[in-house]
Amino acid sequence: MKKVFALVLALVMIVALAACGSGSSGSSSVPDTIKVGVMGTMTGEQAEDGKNIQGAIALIQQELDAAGGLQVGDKKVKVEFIFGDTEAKPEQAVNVMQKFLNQDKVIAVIGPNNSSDCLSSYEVSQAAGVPAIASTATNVRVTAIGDYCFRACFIDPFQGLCMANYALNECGYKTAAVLSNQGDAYSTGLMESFVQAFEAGGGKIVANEVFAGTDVKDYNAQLTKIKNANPDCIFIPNQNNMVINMCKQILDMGITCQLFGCDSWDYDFLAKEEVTQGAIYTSGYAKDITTAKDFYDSFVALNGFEPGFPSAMTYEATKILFNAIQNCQSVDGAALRDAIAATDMDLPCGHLSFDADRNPVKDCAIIQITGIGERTYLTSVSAS
Amino acid sequence: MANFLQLLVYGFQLGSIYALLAIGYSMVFGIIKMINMAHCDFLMMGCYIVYFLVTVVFGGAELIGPAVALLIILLGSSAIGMVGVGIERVAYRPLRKRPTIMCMISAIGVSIFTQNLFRALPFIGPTPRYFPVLIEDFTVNVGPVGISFTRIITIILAIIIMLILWYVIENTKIGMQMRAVSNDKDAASLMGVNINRVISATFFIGAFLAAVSGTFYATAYPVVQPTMAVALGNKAFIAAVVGGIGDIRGAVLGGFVIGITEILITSVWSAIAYGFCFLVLIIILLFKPEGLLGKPMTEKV
Repeated sequence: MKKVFALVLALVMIVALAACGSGSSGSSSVPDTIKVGVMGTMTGEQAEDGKNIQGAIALIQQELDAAGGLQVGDKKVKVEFIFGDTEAKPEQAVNVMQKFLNQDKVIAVIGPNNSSDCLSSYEVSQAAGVPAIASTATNVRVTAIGDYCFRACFIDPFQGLCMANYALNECGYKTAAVLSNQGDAYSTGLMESFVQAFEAGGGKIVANEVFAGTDVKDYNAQLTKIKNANPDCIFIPNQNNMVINMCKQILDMGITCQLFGCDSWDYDFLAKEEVTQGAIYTSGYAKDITTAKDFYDSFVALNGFEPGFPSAMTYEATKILFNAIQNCQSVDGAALRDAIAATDMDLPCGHLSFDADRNPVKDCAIIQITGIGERTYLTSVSAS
Repeated sequence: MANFLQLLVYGFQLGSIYALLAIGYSMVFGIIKMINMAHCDFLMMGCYIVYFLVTVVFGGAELIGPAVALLIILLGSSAIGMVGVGIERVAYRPLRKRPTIMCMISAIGVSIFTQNLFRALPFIGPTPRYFPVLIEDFTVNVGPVGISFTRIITIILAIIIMLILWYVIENTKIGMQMRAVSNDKDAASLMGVNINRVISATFFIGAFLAAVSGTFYATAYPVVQPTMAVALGNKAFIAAVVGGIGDIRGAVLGGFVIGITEILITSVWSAIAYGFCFLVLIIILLFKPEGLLGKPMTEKV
């Protein structure tokens, strides 16, 4: 009898996407306190991301406290955020995910921020039927793992395409070189999509160099080859902690061509360095986007530093989750999954809806570092 | 050809940093037959102490001249030298009578603890910091090849330090005591050598050198993080083994060999370059286990 009841409710769910059934428990299915896991690189070489993530969650918490809780239906629900540190290690991400699912029994997971960490840990959440929304993981394979895997940011093929098109069309560059991290799925994915898009647009990749992993700090051998190839621009899709070393070595070697980056460059401390001046990069978030102004002001007022891409995406991912909970009034995995997939809302970075692959359809911003600490928003490239 | 020479120069630059660090590993092993896995963290501590002395006390590198910078480096490195002596007393001396493998495990523990301690301290934290520019860097062009001035200094420094150490060990009293302890610890103590003092002096010199090399490393690769020295430490350790652990000349030679190999392999197949030097280590151990300049020994850790 319960099974028939659940089957009928599932059919109702499919027909009216916004409404969800209460599942087999038969009672009000949103507990008074819900637990949400937040995963990211809180410590280690990418700890700057962790700072941004925590700042975003602090802002969410501030909004929840002001409203007295999350309004679900006719009651206010308390949200408890549990943080997990992936330390930028995929195997650690798996451990954290298992702790979230088995010990803390979270209803959903926000993050991780790294594509490599997502690729490993989302296998666990997919198998357990718990929805997870990645914040800044842009590698295309993350959402391909299963229907419980979502992301708040754009995907690397789109990002690489935007950067390549910008280089070709707006800047008129004909040749490019790339220096990417072979040990990072994010970096390699971006390199592939940039190369593909650049060559499809008529450009020529004159040097495509890699280095073995985060431990490598000396890129002089690769840069010598790049310098000899004399490109119009260099694309550097690497994590923030390596960018300073790379830019310094590039300048020391006398290479003066335009540097292009990606969303991992969107940090206050990177823009403050002399060696990164003039670089252009893509991001899902720019503080000059009109709809992002409130988010920017509240974030700076609460946390004391400017938000970047990871903070914006964590904030948006949490908002997507809350919106889904409010729409389907359930914390059941399958119900949440469907509600998230049906998201159609306005967020600080613009309007967001999910496509069939659970990737968001949203714009890409192009930002340039125009002065010490100054990140200037140049333009937006839309997904269509 | 010019490309090859340029790559060779980069190899020397990288190798000089490995050499300075490898000296510390070699010295400690030579004296007490123990591999101090925490040695690389002296480099990290040296970077941080100089960073804080320059930014906090002096408010930034634009205000200080090269003489003051040198003084700061020497002061900071001496402080790290004392930290090295302290670590030896706390973590290694009680284990001296035990098998040396225990000392090594203790050293690994010290290394991981130090990194986490520095990361947990609120005024340091996990955020990478940009090391202030202490030496005006410019590129010297010798023919078709460009060498950075800082790197020239590092290479010269590595060789000078090696020569000074060599002189100290061969021609001074403390050097003679070090050689005696290295040869046979118990016999040396019977001859009236104060073992504790000699070992403390060794650690002081080793940590001091690591801190100095840390400053030069940070000038070339100016990102300072608590975990910055781990990869360096591994490379320097195998450089010391390749050159012949226990011998300072071997450490310097090993450092340059590993540095040049890494750069040359990077230009051919960069994906494998980082791990390739470990392959070099295996090959050397297979054919000449005592290292390039070492003397054959019956047992080594």
